[in-house]
Amino acid sequence: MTQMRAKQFRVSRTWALSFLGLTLVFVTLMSLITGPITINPWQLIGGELTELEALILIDIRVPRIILNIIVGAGVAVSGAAIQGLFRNPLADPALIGVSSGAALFAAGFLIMGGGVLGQLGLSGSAFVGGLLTTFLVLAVGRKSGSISGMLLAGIAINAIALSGIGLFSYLSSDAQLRSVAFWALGSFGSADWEMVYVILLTLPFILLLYDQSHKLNAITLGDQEAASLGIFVPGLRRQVILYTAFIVSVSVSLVGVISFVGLVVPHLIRLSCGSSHTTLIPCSALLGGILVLLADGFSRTVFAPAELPVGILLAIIGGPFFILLILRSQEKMGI
Amino acid sequence: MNIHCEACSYSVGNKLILNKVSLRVSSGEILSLVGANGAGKTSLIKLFAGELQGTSGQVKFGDRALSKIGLDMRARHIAFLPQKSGLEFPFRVREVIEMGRYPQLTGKVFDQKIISEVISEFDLVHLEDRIYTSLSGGEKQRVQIARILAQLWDTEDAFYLFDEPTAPLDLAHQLAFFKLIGTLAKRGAGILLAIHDLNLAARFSDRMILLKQGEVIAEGAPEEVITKEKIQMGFDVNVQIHRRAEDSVIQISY
Repeated sequence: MTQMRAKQFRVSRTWALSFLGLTLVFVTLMSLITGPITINPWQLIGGELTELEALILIDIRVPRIILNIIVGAGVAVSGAAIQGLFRNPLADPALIGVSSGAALFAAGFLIMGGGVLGQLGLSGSAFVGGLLTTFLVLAVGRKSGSISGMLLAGIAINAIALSGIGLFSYLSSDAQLRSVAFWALGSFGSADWEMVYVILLTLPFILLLYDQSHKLNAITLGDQEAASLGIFVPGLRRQVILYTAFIVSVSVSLVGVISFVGLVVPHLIRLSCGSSHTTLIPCSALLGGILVLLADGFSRTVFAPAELPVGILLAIIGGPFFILLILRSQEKMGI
Repeated sequence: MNIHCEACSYSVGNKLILNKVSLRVSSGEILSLVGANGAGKTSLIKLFAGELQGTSGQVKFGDRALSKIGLDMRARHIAFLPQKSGLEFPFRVREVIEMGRYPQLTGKVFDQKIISEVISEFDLVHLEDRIYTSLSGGEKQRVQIARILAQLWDTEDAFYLFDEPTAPLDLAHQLAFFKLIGTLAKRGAGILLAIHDLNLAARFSDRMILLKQGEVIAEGAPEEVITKEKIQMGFDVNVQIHRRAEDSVIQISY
């Protein structure tokens, strides 16, 4: 069996980056012209748009597309980094509690009637919740001193946060329930330029994760091996977790929980381009951007003028797809 | 140059794992640690790797305390292969070996040259493009050894620490391994390894150390350590020691 795939097929880094880059450009252009109002691509290129079209483009579609791409890239890169750090291809940023912590605080904010503070208050509390939960998981994990300890702490704290969300939903009014649910499923429906400025804050952290590529490669060998290659493992762990916590909680605070991207995208890249983080991280960023852009494109056009929360779409497609991947590639992934 | 410790002890809770062990590995020698399971071989190697801190006594690299040397600096002179490696991501074999060069600041071109050298010297050319996770246990171990060799291939004052490196290897590759570390020792590297195969250890080591329950009970050239009485003491096994007629290589039978 192993003899048969003596030389496994792999796409080279340059090819993968060029292909994904071009695809991202193409999908971006498609997203710009499609929607309830279709824009003629030739007029877009020639700059001959009507005032209404220009307004739609600049105030609605452009910020939404930028948000799609950066959130997708950030979540996918966080997934890749967390999987490497925990040496587990099935790990996910949610494992360190970011998503559920952010969701819990956002739900709490909505139910406690913090509505007067508006979007900023909602985002702010989600952000605080995400970071707090991560610190809690880290603290419990440090006491146990092992990766599995931290993962178990993550699972337990996730469960507590989820039951908290359940409790809030139980206490909420119908209208509140709807906004909690919509938010927990992820939606780019309220994208605007302010949100774009906020998401731009995550870009340096995505680059910082890329900067750790070699260290992440080394840590997949094992903690002892990484240390003997000159890496201060606790420091690396702290950095990677904080960066991903920041990226994910900012994303969650703006657009809600974007599921499956952090899990599936790095997985796909590993299968096609290999495990080295120098390739994995930039390719995941591009593919994450493409996937979220596509998914959000569908969710805003298929049921137009109504919108399907993008998280539902991602889970409907991502779930079965992931099962298929696991069934087909168990041996290759060494799970 | 040397790595050494004097009267180093290490304990976990109340259990004493190493009891006032003194050990010196010098440039250019191959030193084997032998002893029964749980004798303290792995702990001693980990002390030298800086992976464990002794409860008393200090490990020194030359005249500097190992704990005072930065991790990155340490990694440029000391390479450590733990007993079991848990890489479970589908890296290519060459990519795994490349990781060995991370601590060095020698530049990409030079690193690639070294990696190719190690790959051909250690009979890995046909595996170079394979995916690590699809390899057999012995093949994986050879890749890990190659990674360790690449780490310090060109370095002066290089020290290699191996914890049972040859256990998963077939006979041909066990011999190839010892031939290769013999060459490295001639070029000035110091090598410390824990090993169970007494015949291999006796044949290829410059010095041996026999540990029992955390204490050194014999130390010296192979013929001084591999004696009927000392093996009886260390392993509780009755053996016969022979000398091969043609080249007086020590052989143990049981």
